[in-house]
Amino acid sequence: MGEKRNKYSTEEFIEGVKTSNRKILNYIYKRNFESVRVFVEQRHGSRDEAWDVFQEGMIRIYDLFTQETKRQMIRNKHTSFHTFFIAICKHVWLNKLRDRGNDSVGIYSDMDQFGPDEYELLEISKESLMFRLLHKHLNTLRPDCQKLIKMTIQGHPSTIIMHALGFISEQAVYNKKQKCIKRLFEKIKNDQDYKDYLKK
Amino acid sequence: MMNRIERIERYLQGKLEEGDLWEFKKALEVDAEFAEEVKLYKELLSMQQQAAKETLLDTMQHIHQENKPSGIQRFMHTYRYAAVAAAFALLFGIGMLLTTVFSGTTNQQLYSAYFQPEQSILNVRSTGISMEHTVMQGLQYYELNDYQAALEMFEMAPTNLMGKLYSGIALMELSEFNSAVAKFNYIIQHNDNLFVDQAEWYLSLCYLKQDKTEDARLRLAKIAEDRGIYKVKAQKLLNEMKNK
Repeated sequence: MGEKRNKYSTEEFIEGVKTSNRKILNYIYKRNFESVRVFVEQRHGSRDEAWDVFQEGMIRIYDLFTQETKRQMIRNKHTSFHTFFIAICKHVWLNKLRDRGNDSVGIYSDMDQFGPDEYELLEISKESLMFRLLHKHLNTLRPDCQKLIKMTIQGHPSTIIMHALGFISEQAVYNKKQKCIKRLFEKIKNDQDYKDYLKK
Repeated sequence: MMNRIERIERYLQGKLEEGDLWEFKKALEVDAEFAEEVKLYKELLSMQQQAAKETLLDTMQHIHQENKPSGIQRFMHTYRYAAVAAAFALLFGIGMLLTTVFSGTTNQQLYSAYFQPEQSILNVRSTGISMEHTVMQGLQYYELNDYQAALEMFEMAPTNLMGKLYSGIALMELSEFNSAVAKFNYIIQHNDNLFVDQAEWYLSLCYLKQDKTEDARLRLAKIAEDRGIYKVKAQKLLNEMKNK
């Protein structure tokens, strides 16, 4: 990728994204979020939706950077990191609009700018969407539920969770966990992106 | 009988008995929603292997929060007319109440008469508001009178001044006046924000409730001298305090 106008090289972007280097991520955010926001807001979206799109773009970039073959494909491209990242985000949003049946804003002509060989790199997997939705809604649960589910995911046994979070018994941990996961799933099911995903 | 989540968990752990297992697999085939829940549960468990990705999103979230236009700026831009109208309506209602009810009252009675919990911003808005998500969640709990949960959410956005204001009022509802005073003082010391008027008013009421009459009087006198939206209320309350 041509990086003449970038503060960082492609390799630095790759390492920065893989290791969540705050300096690099901050640079990516400042350089790109406004472009994504404007693109989304000009096409029936909101700032919050632009942020969802941006995050899905970051997940996609991460997935690509952690696969050697894909990483090589990106290195061989003649576009800057930012052009490539923006293309991913645009692709995400245009796909969402298409899934919502919105074809009144010139989506298809916008889609034409991507060549068929680029789709493989741009395509966001269903797993990426699920990951973002889980991450997003997990962080909006009540703090006690967040802690409980995170400890469960990390594989802590019930006895440890019981003592760490002050439950009176393992059964109480179990009951609470069921409720928290149910609440999490309800939130995800009410998310428009999830509904759109189910329609596919 | 096992609930859905419990069944999924037991299935993934290989703990379903033969009959239940058969039922489970049958449900997977005929119930698309259930099948999606199973996928979600698997995804949830797989987050452990994706901790680096989670760190990436958490870091991005912090960066996004740091770079967001402040809630106050958006509030000023979008809701100031609705907020001022709501404040005047509140002022008028309380004014009417006070002119008809009080003479010779105690601090506690005055507090009960004047303490009117702030209407949540969610109720005066006309369109979607973009603010820190945890603050939004906190306001939702606040609206449901679940003040403890609201406080927990506001604590997750420790520098958000709107969260501070509603934390203070929630603490008043929970009769934790010392903590409420700290929240309002934080806003007042910050000074350059939309919530100073409200913070000063509620701080006065905290002092009143705590029987710190002189502190309350000084604070109210300052509000009465300013041109804020609580000027008239502060003057009336000061008069009531003189008549005690």
